[in-house]
Amino acid sequence: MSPFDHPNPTDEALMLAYQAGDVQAFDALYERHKNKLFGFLMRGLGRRAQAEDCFQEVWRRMIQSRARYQPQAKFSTWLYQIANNLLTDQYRRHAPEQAAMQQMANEPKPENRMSSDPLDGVSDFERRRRVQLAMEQLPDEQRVALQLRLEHEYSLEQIAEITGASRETVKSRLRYAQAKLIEELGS
Amino acid sequence: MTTHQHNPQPLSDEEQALAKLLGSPAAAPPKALDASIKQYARLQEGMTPTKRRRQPWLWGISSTLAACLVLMIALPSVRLTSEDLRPAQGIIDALSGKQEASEQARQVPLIPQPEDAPIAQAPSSRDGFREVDIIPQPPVVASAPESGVMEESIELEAPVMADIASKKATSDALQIEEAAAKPEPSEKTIRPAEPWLKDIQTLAQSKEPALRQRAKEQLEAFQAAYPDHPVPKSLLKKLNLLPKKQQSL
Repeated sequence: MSPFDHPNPTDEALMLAYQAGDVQAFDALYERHKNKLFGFLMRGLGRRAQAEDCFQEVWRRMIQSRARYQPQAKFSTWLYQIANNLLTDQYRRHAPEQAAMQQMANEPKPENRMSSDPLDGVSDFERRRRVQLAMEQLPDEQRVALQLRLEHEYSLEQIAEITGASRETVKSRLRYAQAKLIEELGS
Repeated sequence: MTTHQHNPQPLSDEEQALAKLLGSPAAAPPKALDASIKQYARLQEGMTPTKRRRQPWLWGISSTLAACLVLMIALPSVRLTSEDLRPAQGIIDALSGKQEASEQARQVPLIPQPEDAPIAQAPSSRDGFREVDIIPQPPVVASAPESGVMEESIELEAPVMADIASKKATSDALQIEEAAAKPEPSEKTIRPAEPWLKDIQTLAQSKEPALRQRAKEQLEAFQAAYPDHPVPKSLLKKLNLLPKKQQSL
């Protein structure tokens, strides 16, 4: 029975079909998840070239290990687990570079960029830019957890499974990350 | 895989506000990357490891049958007899210091000897094998014991002696027949004196008158051929050719 008999097959049905040799099911899965996954990697790595390399590697690993997939697992959770493992490897590889960027980010900012007055006419564009900058300055674990929560709306349990941390750890990381962003926004 | 599906947790108001500010990265992978990944997935499906999962029982049965087949082929050829193991056992014993075992190992050839090799079928005469090519080997003749030893050491019993006497008489008769059968010497071919005289003596020993007459004739011929050759008196006496006075002596 083909998953395409159903008008809107689930990711898991498509993955099982691909596991059984249906290449069209892979194409459908890829089209569903490619943009979100690429955005996740872009946000995490900050450079397009690195993100493209990592994106390709995520799908390669997924294809290679498709035989191990079991339908009890949510496909997106499994896919982002692979992506998070690759991101972690990248962070470890570029740890000195990250530290230097962190130091630059901690330097005092110009006065005109840090206005605490909400009525000084800060535009939406400026607000978004500040959130993104604050996001980049977060520790890797906090940034990944917050990203998975805000952009993908994953539950604490799913984030815990993807990152390999406990639910309470994830909850704590999210709390710290949100506090930091709100602080940066000066709200 | 240990992941399990969970109920979605909706974003709180604060989270929604942050998510709205953060936005979603408007980034998409390049088209070339899309094509490359999809192509990779198709290629991997061609050498899929998942097809085994479809019918694992079939894979198990075929593997078992293949293993049985290999065993059936291999087992008869590796069955060793005690003869096969002798050289190896000898070597092992020799290495462990047993002198006798090493002797045995030396006696048993590890390399097949020519006599062990299969014998090629000899070609028949139809195949062009010429019989004249065969060189007959002389038969092995056992050396006869010395006559003196026989006479001294063996005492023959009476029946044996009678048998020997009869055989001797037969032999004498044969010699007489041979002597009678010999042609008389012609003028062209004169026989040597001694053998001729011996034949005449043999004829003279016979009791048959015809043969004795033959002996007389031969003796006359001999004396004609060899007038100067002496004739034994015993022969003349046997043939009654001596004068009456000497004959009676």
